[in-house]
Amino acid sequence: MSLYHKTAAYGFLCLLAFLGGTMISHQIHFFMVFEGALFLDWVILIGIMGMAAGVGHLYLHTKPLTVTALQMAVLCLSTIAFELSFLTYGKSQVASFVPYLILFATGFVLGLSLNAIEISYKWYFIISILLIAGILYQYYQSDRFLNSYLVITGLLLLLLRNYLAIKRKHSLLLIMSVPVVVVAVIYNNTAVPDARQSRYYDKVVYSRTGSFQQIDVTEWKGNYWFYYNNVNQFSSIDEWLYAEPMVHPVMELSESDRDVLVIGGENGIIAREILKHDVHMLDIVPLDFELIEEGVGNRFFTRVNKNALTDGRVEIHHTNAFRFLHSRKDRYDVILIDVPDPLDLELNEYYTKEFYQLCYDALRTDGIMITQAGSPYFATKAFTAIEKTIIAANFATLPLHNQVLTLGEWGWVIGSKKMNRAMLRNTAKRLKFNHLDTRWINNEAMQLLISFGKPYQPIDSVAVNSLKNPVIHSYYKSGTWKF
Amino acid sequence: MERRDFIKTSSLLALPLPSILPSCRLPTRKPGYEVEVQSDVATGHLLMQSKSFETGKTVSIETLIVGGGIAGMSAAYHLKNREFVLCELSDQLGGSSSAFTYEGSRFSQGALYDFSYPEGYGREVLGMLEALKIIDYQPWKNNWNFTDQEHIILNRRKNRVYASGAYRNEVISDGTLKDSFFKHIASFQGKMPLPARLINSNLHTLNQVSFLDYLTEKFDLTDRFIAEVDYHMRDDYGAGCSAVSALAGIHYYACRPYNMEVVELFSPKEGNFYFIRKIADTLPKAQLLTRHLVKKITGNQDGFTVEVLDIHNRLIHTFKTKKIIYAGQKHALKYVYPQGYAHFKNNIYAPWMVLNIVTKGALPLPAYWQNEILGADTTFLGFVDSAAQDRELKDGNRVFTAFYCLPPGARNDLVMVNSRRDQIAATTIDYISDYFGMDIGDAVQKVFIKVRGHAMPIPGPGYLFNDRNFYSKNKNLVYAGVDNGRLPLLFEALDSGIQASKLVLSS
Repeated sequence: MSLYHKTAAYGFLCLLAFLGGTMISHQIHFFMVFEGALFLDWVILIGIMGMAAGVGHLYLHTKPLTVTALQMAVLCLSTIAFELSFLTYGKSQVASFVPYLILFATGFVLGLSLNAIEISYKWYFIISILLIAGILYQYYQSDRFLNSYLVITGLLLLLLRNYLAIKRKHSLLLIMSVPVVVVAVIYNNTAVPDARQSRYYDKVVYSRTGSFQQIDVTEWKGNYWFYYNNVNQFSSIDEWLYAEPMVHPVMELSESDRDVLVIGGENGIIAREILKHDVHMLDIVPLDFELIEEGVGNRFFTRVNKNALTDGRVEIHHTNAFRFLHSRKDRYDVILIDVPDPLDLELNEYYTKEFYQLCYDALRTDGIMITQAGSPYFATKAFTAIEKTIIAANFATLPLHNQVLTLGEWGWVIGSKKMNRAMLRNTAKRLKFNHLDTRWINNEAMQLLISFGKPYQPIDSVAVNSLKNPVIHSYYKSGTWKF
Repeated sequence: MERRDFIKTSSLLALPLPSILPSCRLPTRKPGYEVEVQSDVATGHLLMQSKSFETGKTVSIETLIVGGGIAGMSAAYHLKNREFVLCELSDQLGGSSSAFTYEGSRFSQGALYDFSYPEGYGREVLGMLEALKIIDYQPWKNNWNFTDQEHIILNRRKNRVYASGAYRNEVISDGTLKDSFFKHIASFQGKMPLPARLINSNLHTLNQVSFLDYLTEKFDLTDRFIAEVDYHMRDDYGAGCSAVSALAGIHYYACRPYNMEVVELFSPKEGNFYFIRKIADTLPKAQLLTRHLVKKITGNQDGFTVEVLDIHNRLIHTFKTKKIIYAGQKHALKYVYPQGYAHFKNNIYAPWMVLNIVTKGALPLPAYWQNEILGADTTFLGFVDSAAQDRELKDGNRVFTAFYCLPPGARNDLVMVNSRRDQIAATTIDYISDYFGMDIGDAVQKVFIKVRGHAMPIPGPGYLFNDRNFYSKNKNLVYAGVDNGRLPLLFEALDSGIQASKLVLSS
């Protein structure tokens, strides 16, 4: 073995050891992102790698070509190891094995490489030191590009060693790894969890910090959870348990070829359900202009809302809802109000008598409206006050409720201009939804939606909510939110 | 830097003012930004220089308007079909509502907001703003709101208070004193319109006592409560509650239903220059002369002879005019028209210093529009964050507009601002860094310091309802502006212009 050959071989080995160390750190970091720092992780991961190195070194003697191929594969793998663990996390139960497999493969190849050259015990010591150095470097200075540089250097050393050993065939093999490394370097850092991840157990696949809102999307086994200012708004698991009761009864209670208005509804799920009906046009007045941008163009949102917001019948109006309603008299057949809960004075405005009166005037004579009304069980007083306020705006009302698995018991109030209370209830009771492509709602479900049992918040015990006398936000806050 | 460490450092810097000017700490390193000072102090030099100016043209006009602030522009708007010329000293219109342009965007350097107008406010001003398409009536709320919705600040981003190292929502701390105070204020709800001249005369006695005396009599005050009310008074009126009349103080809290409902806050990035721009768009440009200093007004039989310095062309023009609307700062009458100054010599003005700190880069979010800072340095009121004026976050410059309200006695210190600009900028950046709990110094691109020696008249006891136009001898010279016995607010300035134009048209 020539001196150059030996230098290249040892150099490669040292580099591989250092890289192995950074790989341990990366995988530890990966576990910390989701599960917090555990000493046990370190022991297990270093153990796996050590065991794999032992197996590779002591028990296996493969052909040099195979060793080169494996070395190359592990080098390439290490550039995308973290991303691979991250990408697969939460996809299935098996995915949690990815980090272990990566470390096993790294250790195994390190062992094989030790095997390929005769080394003294001094070298085992040096290799161990470099391994620890790699761990420490990444632990204190998480330079995520370092691996790419190490891998390029490693590949060059491997090439040099094989060239000096006159193994030209191996060198050809190495050239194949070039595209892999190039791609890895380009796409490095694409799916890296950020500070937002620390708030969630599930993987944060998207987050956006707006001027007054934080939007996060998390994933667990193919399902998505959507958070707005750290509060879960809906999830792909059961969004239809919210959307179907909100949309289909009111749509079915109106005539066909409807003109529909949605206030709020930025995520587009309500729109998706509305468009299953015979709709002439659908105007949407969002409250949050940044959120509706997500609903229109973010793939996590469009996957759920089936691109409803870019449908030809939809028009989005970036304006104030009060002004918009005021400018549209006698214009709509259905108005759906899907706005956040009345957390503060500002949101409270969307639950006032004045607001419902504007809706009343914007509706045609046989028009119908529905508003989300929070939880009838957790914020009973607010729920009852919403109904009372809608009655005060001249509507006949029908409250609805449903169990939404990820949100809890949720409620809505329907207001009809034409029908009286009994008629509205009786007509709703008979709705069939047969011709509709729904996941859950049918006539049986409808009976469930309108059944409340005995009322336990008398309607006389709450006040009508108005702009000049706002009450609902304080009712809402006094709700029994803990459970 | 950890917040805790930061407070340790900055509390050393928080020296009581007016000492900020002479004793700001020396910057530890050369800052990565430039500091530019804009001051009207140069006017003095200009007057000296003007001796070398050549004689310009002689022009005869019906009405000359002195001052291109809100009052002057409002008067011009109402005289637009008449023959008038407006002279403004600065290179742009605006007065206390001026703005500066940086990288294509305009940012406010003074008055920068107004609230929606409830029922009972002056119809003349409302009519003017409605005609300008600035406001429209909202029947569902019984008020007039601003038409350009994009400049309405979201309620939940309106303000945040930072005091003794903690954030809260309101300047006045919760407690029984606050409750009884606002209960008392509620009894004035609907009785405190703008302009203040519409306030029922049976409440005028409140104009004679100081707000502090009034409060002391009604409530069992605490020092903290006084400090908090002082903060509000300085923010709007330029002085604490002992220097402000009870009527002005009560008006501050009761002029709109702040505690009952959402009162829409309108604040474009260009601030109240927005109003100037809207009015200017309706007027012939040639009649609005910027960089024109009215140097001397002399009365004669036909009206007035006015010497006007054309700063740009270095000329002295002579304007022969029948009537004058004087909408400039009244302290300048001392030199311009000494006969008129006697009426205003008791006016007390608050000097202000406004810093526009232009930043770029990642800084904390969400942003709050007004960041009210109640610290050891009581002259520092906090800052307005332009990021809260954007409905959608863009990668542009984020500007923090910081305000210092100085005591009238500190006015002479303002000449030092230029030589101490780096220290003033560094100290202010430290205050803001302390607020955010992170050093923002590296993000700062440029700092503009605007010095306003006479930013606003302080509405002290006896100040209001003293309209000099009622008793001034020469009826052809009419005074406009908030420093003619009015509250230092946009609505008052607009009204003063309207009233002045009416006097000019009727005489």
